[in-house]
Formats: sequence, C-alpha cells, structure tokens
Amino acid sequence: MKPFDTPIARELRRFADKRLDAAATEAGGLVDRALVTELANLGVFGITIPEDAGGLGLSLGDACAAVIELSRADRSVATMVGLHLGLGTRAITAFAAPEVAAEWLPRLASGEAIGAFSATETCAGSDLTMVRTQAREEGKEVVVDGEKAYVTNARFAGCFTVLTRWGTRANALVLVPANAPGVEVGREEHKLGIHASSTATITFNGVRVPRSYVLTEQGLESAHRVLAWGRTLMSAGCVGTAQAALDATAVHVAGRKQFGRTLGEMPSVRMAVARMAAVLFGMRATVAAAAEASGGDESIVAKIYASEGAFEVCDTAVQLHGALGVIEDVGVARLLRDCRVTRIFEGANDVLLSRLSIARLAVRPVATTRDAKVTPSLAAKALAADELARSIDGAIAEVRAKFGAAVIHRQPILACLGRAMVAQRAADSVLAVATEDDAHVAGLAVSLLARQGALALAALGEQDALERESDRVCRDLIASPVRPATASKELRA
Amino acid sequence: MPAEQSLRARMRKLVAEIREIDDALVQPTSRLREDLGMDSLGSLELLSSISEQMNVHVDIEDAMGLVTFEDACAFVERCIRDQKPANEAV
Repeated sequence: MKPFDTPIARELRRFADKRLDAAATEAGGLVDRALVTELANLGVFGITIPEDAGGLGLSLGDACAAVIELSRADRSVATMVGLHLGLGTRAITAFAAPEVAAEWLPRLASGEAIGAFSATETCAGSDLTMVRTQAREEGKEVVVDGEKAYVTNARFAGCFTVLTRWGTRANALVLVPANAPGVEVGREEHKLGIHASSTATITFNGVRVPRSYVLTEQGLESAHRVLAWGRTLMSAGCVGTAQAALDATAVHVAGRKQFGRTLGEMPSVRMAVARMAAVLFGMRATVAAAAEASGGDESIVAKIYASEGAFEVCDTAVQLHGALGVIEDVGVARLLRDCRVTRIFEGANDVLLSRLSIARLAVRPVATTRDAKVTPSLAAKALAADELARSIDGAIAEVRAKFGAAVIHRQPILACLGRAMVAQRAADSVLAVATEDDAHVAGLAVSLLARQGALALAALGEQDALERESDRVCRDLIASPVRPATASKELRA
Repeated sequence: MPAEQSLRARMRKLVAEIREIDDALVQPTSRLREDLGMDSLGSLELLSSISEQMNVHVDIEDAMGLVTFEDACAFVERCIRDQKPANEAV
C-alpha cells in the first residue's frame, strides 16, 4: 500500500530528516519563524489552496501525505501545518466571497499568514450549539464579541475562522484578522504534549470586520464540514507519530539483548511489534479512505481509529523500550505525550462514536457490498470482515426494536455499536488498499479488527447491568467529590 | 387547545429548539432534511423527545420514510393512537 507516497511527501521526508529535531523544537519554546519560512519556501502552506490563489492546488490526500512526513519527525510542526491546511484555511477556500478569497488566500498559501480555527469555548466543547461568541451586523461591518478557548495556532495566526452566534439563534463562520483591534491572544497553555505548537485563549472585544468577512451563515453545518477535513489531517498526523514509534521500536528490539537473545527474537515481542505494524496499516488505510471521501463519516472513522491506534502503538513502543521508554531523550515518551490529545480534540472520540451509531441507526439499512476487489490471499479475511458487517446489521435491528428513538440516550449502547462499526469500516479500508506485497500485515490487521468488532458487539448485552452497577458506584463519588490535590493552586482556588 | 394542535405546537417548538431556528420557519410542508436541516441526530433527538414526553414507543424503522414536518406529526399521532407505552417496550 503506497497511498501517501507522493512527490511532496518525498520532498518533505528529505526536509524532515535533515532539518527537524523535535527535542530541539520543544526546548526552544514554540516553533520558530525561521522554520515557518523554510516550510513556506517548500510550498507547504499552499498545498490545498487553489493554484490561481498562489497555492499548489493539491488534494486532501496530498496534504495528509505532507502531514504524515512532518509528524514522523516533529508532531508540533505537523500540528501547526495540519491545522493551517485543514481547519485554518478550509472555510476560507470553500466559502469566502471572491474578494475576500483574493485578499487572504495568497497570503495563506505563501505562509505570510497562518490560519487558525476557533470554535471551542469553555462552555462549548463537544456541544457546539452552546457557542456564545456573538457576531452582529452594524452597517457595513460585523462586530464580534466573545472568548474562544484552546485555539491551536493562536500565537502563529494571521487570521482566525471563528464560529459565532449570528442573530438570535443561527451560527456563522467569520474571518477575523489577528491584528484587528480588539483581538487579544492569552497566555500559552502548558500542555501534556505537542509543546512547541501554540494553544491559547483568544478574546474578541468589539472586533470590527467587513460584512463580507462572514464566510457562511450556515455556521454549524459548515463547521462540521470543515471539521471533517481537520479530523482527516489530524489522523494523518497520528499515522506519522505511530510510524516513528514503530521505527524506533524495530531498531530497539533488533539490538537489545536479554536472556541471551535479542528482544526481537522473543515470540511475545514479535507479536507486539507485528500488532503495532498491523494497527499502523489500518490507520493508514482509514486515513486514505477519509482523504478520498474528503470528509463525512469516513473522517470520523479515521479520527477514532487513528487516534486510538497511535496511542496504542506509542504505548507499546514505550513498553518495549523498558526503562528507556520513559527517558525523554530517547524520544518515544514524547510520541506518547504528543498523541494523547488526539483522542480529545476535533471531536472527543466518545461523542463521535455516538454520532456514528446514530447516523447508522437513523438510516434504512442497505445491502453491504465491497467496492474494491480484494487481493487473492486475503479472500478468507474478507469473509471475516463481511461476517462482522452482517453481525452489525443484526445488532442495529435489535437495538432499534428494543429502544426505539430513546436509544439516543443510551450512550454505552451507542459506544459499543460505534466501536464495532469503526472496526468493520477500518477492515474494509484495509482490504481496499492491501496488495499481495503487504498481505501479511494487512491480514493481521483485518483479523485484529474483526475480533475487536465482535468483542464490541458481544459487550452490547452487558451494558444495562454495567450501567446500573456504575450508577451505584458514582452516586456518592460524584455527589460529594473530593477536592483534587493535583491541580495547580490557581485552579484549586 | 385541542390535543392535535397541542401536539403540533409542541413538535414545532422541539424542531425549532433542535435546529435553533424561529418556530415560524417550521411549516407543515417543510421538508425535515432539505428545508429544516434535520440530520440523523436531529431527527432522532426529535423522536426521542416526543417518545419521552408522550411516554410512547417510537419505532425508528417506521419513522425512516418521513419527509415533511406534517409527516412527522401524523406519524407521532399514529404512535399515540396505537399507544405502546415506552416503558413497556421490550
């Protein structure tokens, strides 16, 4: 499978090998301007921007390939670039009026301006309907007031795409230049990982922009479309991080000797490394499918599978490195830290699992057919994937009959269904891209996914009892919580 | 207010709340998906709220062919008429 072996990926691999050093970037604080300029000279910031606006006019898949190569070497740099190529510029490319596009896209393509997207607020995370930042018309201008939290690229940004209230009930996406009077960038958040990427609160105090800077008045729907791009690129970053973890682990287990033989000769280690490779293969396949679909539910499948896969792969890398795994200089600890947030941002996985299930529950079932021809030696594996698909159809019918529309409130049930669906669709993606050359790793990936899906469906029947037991445990815990001793004094106050 | 009107008013309010639009935009002929932007989540939210408020089981499978707001109202009326309370569902 070589879906991301593109010319720009090869160029960036050479650049990353020569120029990127994640430990040094992290030690220096935020990604510096000199590095941004070098990336800009390579055309990185214009990959997805149309050629007539100064970009390269390439596809989402090309952008994913670029992000994979950058994140193999430095996830902070890849986060900055990926955010720019997806959330930071997508709404402007897709929805801006011609004069606004002409003003901003060339600057974004050249890297003169870096894009950022601000939707989350302290009270509006997974539920974006709670957004309170307000935009209102005043003559030929729009005035924006409010505060956005955890804005990636906050300090690098030349402009923000801001999700706001619009009128009394609707939402809008508004372009706000970072240097507009009234825009204030808060202090940098100190995060678990991706230390050299910028994350801060942005305050908009009566910021005035031209009326044409309202990119779309279908704010929430548009935000979800933009988020689909963002999720796909973020998942590509997970592929790069997991590839780095696998590379480091292969070198380590080949050289490290214990009990008279290398770790790589031990069956349990071989199984762990093979599993890492199989999960990574699945991650690449789901990202390829999402990039080809250019959004929609495929981006949700990729986001969930790639973020959880990356964490598993990096965690195994730390484990197989033994004590070296937790030593920062070795580098695998950073990979684990860097990928943890991806299960949270751009849609927490728990919420996305429910969304995936609901979308499936609410549509009439269609006969499942495999789009692509499966490579011959994986025919038996395809049967396992098909069996999982049929089991999911059966489970969906049972859940519909048992709960009716009230299933929307049964999150544990939705999560089980969602997990099975992610496994099944990931298996399909693997089968779609696998060739005879990589049939072994692809076959293992499908076996693992079929088992994962079957386990998720088997867990459906236990959820009622588990929910009741959990209720009893949580009753006292949550009713009278103990003040945490771990938060900073400032937060505790 | 007659029961029928009350049900329609309640459903209109629910749709407006879910979609964050003015009640007046929800007309009998409004198409749930194309005109009101009700995606799968919105549709299930609506049916689930109705199911809860009326204590009636709403079958998702039966609700899949609904096109307009009036279709949805008539469907819920049928569910109430057939009255299979939600808490007795298998």
